[in-house]
Amino acid sequence: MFKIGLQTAQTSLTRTPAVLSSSARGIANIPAHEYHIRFDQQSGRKRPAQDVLDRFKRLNNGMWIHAHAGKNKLRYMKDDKWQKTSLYYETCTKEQCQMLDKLVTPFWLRPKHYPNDPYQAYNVRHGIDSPRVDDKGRFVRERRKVLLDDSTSSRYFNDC
Amino acid sequence: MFSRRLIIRAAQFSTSQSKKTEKLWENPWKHALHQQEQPRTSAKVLEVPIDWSYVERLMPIEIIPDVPKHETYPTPSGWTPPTEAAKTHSYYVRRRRDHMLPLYLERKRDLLNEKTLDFDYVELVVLRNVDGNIFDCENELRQFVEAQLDHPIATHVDELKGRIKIKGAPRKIIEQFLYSKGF
Amino acid sequence: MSQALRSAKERALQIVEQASKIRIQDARDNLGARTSGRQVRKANNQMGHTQGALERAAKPPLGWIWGDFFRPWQRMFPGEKHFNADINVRREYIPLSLIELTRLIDLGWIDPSKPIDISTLCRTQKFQINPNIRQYGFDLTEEGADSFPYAIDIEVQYATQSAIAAVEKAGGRIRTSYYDVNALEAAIDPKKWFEKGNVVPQRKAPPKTLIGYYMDAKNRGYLADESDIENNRINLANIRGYKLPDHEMVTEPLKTVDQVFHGIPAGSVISLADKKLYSPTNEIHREYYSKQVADKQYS
Repeated sequence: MFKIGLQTAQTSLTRTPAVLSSSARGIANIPAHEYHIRFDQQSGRKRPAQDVLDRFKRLNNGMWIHAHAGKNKLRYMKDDKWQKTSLYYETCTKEQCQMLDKLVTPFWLRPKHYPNDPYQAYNVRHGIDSPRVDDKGRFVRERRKVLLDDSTSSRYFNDC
Repeated sequence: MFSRRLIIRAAQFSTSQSKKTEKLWENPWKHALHQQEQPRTSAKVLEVPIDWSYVERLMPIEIIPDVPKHETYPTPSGWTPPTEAAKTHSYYVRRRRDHMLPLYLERKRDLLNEKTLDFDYVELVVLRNVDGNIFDCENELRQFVEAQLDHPIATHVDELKGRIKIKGAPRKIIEQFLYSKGF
Repeated sequence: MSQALRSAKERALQIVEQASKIRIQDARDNLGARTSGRQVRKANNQMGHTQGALERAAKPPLGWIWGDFFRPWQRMFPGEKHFNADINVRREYIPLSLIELTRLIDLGWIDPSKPIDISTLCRTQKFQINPNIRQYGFDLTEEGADSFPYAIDIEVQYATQSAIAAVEKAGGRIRTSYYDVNALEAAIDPKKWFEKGNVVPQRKAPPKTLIGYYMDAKNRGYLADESDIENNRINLANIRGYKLPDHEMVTEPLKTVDQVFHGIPAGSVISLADKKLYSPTNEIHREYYSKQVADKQYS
């Protein structure tokens, strides 16, 4: 029987205050099978899955990357080529990216700009044929350009 | 003596006596604040004359500013205003209120891809604000773009709305067309 | 009275007191709400027999893969602290490219004869800065640096060397300065700040990790020495091989270290309706707002 991750509100009238405080469902206290929290008990808002935030990174163009499974295991036994390739990051498939987008809150789906970001070069993708905009007309993989038409922005930006 | 006491009593009952007969619900704030002692603060201020233009220039711009006059066009960032040549055609494409071309991108759902069982999406470019003979505009646009791209494009004309939807052409090429016509 | 000897009535009262208040919308009937749980019987869980059985069966949660119920796909990979662990420490900046700045000046949104700072850029309403999600201001990037034409007096929060070079080659003056959260909130929306009646704040000193950046003349930091900045300006021109104009664009004197707005002293209150500025008369307040040193070491 699979439990659906919908949390029902538990009123404090059914519990005493002391019990409530010790079983407060903080980040570390959530059972592993209830990781997709659509409605938080405290504020009623969506919560990002902590597992996803620990293991994956979302680039501005919508791609999620993660480390190789087992990269920290038995390194002493592995050959040189594996030593190098185990430290690479892997990209996710379309379905995996869509699923990871559902598991986190809209804050994590925002494009973020940091100066001297080591991942800056990977925040753009080139040569993709699918539409540049989403249903609302916002750019999906590119950066928002202020008052620039495509002729100007294609000369200076290398986004698409 | 008796009369003096009466006078004192009368003085205590000042003209605000008439306001005290005001009911609670007619002025609830006054009733609430009257009971609470006003907090004492040492924050007293004095007016200082300053140049008010410093404050004025912090206020947000509510109306799109007019474009300042430049000596040569295009401007350093590559912007051109509409030219006189634009008035010679049988149609006219008006600029947006922020002086940019009226080109928008839209996403439309296409057919279901049988291999991946996922919907394909297609990007459309929408040209709005077209007045006059919109069919002429569409013809010339199609010829220009197909010459650039070497493959046919699909267009949809909505005469009433003055809109042309183009499928298969990047927005950059349509901008080139509009600039070449002077819009 | 000790905790244990409270009567049941008192304990019940305490629970009720600590419970959240019921509002009228909680008591209303929510039409169309699912009031009974979906009946998921064991029999309906036999997957793949019929389409109807599939539809009625409980669906697995996101990420579930065959194997351990407690190990969904997203837990099968090792953690990486570099990814998201420092999200609450990272400082985000809004990218502003030189070509966008040129376009804004061309179209009349920004006046190059006046100083350009974060308030000037935010009053165009083309940018959204939210201090609550750790956004600290603008980062001037170098798209469009090759042919930047205007001599401007600009103050941003971060700038790349190419952007600095482009601005100085055109004859402009660029400084990077830090706005702490309170000052940033005032700077990005001065109208809202003044309408609330808030006091014009003082800019506090940058935190420990950023003081190095703003004291470095290479970054044209506002805490750096003016002579160092001048030397760096000449050096950068030599390194990059462009001719430096004789004098740089100076529209108004630079802001002091604690100033948020040009021409408006800290500690004052502005009344937009009366078009007046009020300064505090209390000696303590005047002393607090006049000293040029932040009273808190870090912000």
